[in-house]
Amino acid sequence: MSHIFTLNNIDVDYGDKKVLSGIFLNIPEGIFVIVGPSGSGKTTLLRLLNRMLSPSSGEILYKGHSLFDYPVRELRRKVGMVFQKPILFDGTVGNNISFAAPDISDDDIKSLLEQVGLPKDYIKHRSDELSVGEAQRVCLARTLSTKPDVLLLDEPTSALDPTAVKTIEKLLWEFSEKITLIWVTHIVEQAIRLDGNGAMLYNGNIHWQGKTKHLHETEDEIVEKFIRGDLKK
Amino acid sequence: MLTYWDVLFSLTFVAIAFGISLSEKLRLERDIIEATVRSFVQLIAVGYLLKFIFAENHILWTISMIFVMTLIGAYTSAGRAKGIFRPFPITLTAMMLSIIVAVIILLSLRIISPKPMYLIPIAGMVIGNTMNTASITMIRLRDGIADNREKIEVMLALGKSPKLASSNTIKSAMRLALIPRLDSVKVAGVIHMPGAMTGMILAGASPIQAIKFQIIIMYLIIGTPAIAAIVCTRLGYKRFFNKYEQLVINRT
Repeated sequence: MSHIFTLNNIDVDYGDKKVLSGIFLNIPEGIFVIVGPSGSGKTTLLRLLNRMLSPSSGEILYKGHSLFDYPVRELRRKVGMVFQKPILFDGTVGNNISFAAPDISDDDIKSLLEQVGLPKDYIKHRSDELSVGEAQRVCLARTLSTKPDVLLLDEPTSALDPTAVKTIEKLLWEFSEKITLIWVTHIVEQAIRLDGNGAMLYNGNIHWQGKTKHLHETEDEIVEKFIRGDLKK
Repeated sequence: MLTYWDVLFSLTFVAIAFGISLSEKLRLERDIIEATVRSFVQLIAVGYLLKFIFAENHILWTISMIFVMTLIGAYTSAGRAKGIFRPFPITLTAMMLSIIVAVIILLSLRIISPKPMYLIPIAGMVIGNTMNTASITMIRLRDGIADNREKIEVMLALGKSPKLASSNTIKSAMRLALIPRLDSVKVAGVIHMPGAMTGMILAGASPIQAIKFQIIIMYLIIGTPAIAAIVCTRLGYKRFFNKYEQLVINRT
């Protein structure tokens, strides 16, 4: 199995506070879930992968090369990110997508909208008239417009209602055939449903690694507490 | 010719403010005394300094005086920009560039002659206006970047440059900083009598001559703050990003 990211002994410090400590992690292609309670360092770890944040020490490899070997803007287009809260720019849905990919044609925008389950005529819709679920899909289409190899998903369904959560999960799961998805969530059930490889973070350390569908079977006090919802930061 | 007795009698105005503060329990007495004493000492000192510089009529003295005034203005403006890493070089560059452009244009159009009695007051007016604009620009830039943090990060994550990611914030900071200047020019002569014109009329110049000069000053007040605003934003936004094009807020 080829690794898309390799993290070697990564530390992230904010002043005196250690947010990530001695992280060793291989992230394979496909779907990879980073799960853990709030404040465990999941988003920090995710933000290292498109260099929105730099580690205090350690090395990160992307496709076998140091992350720092890639020009940062090129890397960010190849390692796209979808944020927890859908943030759209002023203007139309089409404007939002063509901002990310200035050379994109209207037909390609429509095709992207269809891929994320939105009607083609949404290209003309004003971005401030969309529901949260629709806005998140537009954010996904916007990120996909840069033709990324990897999608970093920072709790992408946390602002959505249960129906929209299922739709987005299904949609993204289908994308994992073509694009590596690195999905951060604090919801155990979601991690299990996503049925990929994964790691559990707790207090800035990796506490568990394996197939997320086996999370329930893990005989580890911390994991059990987390599954029961008794684990605090 | 005014005497120091005239100045002394003008303390009546200060006494009025002092009395109102006492009777209304505003507790501004200390500030009133401080403002009165400071303005007296500062202006008298500057007055003698200007008398010396005007008498010497040497370009080095003039430039030194303008430079010191610019340093003080830039330092004051930078003090307002809390939360921005090393703001002083930015405000200094903005104000120096504004003065240089203003002086070059005024001299080359022969609107003023290269004498300290023209250059120093003109520089003072440019500094006063650009200082204010630089302060507002820096504050608006800082607040705008903090308010738009999420949007800026989304743009960076899409592979856009920090400059493009901050462009809306930069525009907004410039607009907000320049609008008060434009408004003050719009109402010139209607709501307030501009300082240069008032001074010239008091000194015995013809009102029309004074107004012509004031109009030039007004146009200067439109142009030079715009230079200050563009310099502050173009240099200032970079302070919020590190060399890896990551947004860095609260680096003071």
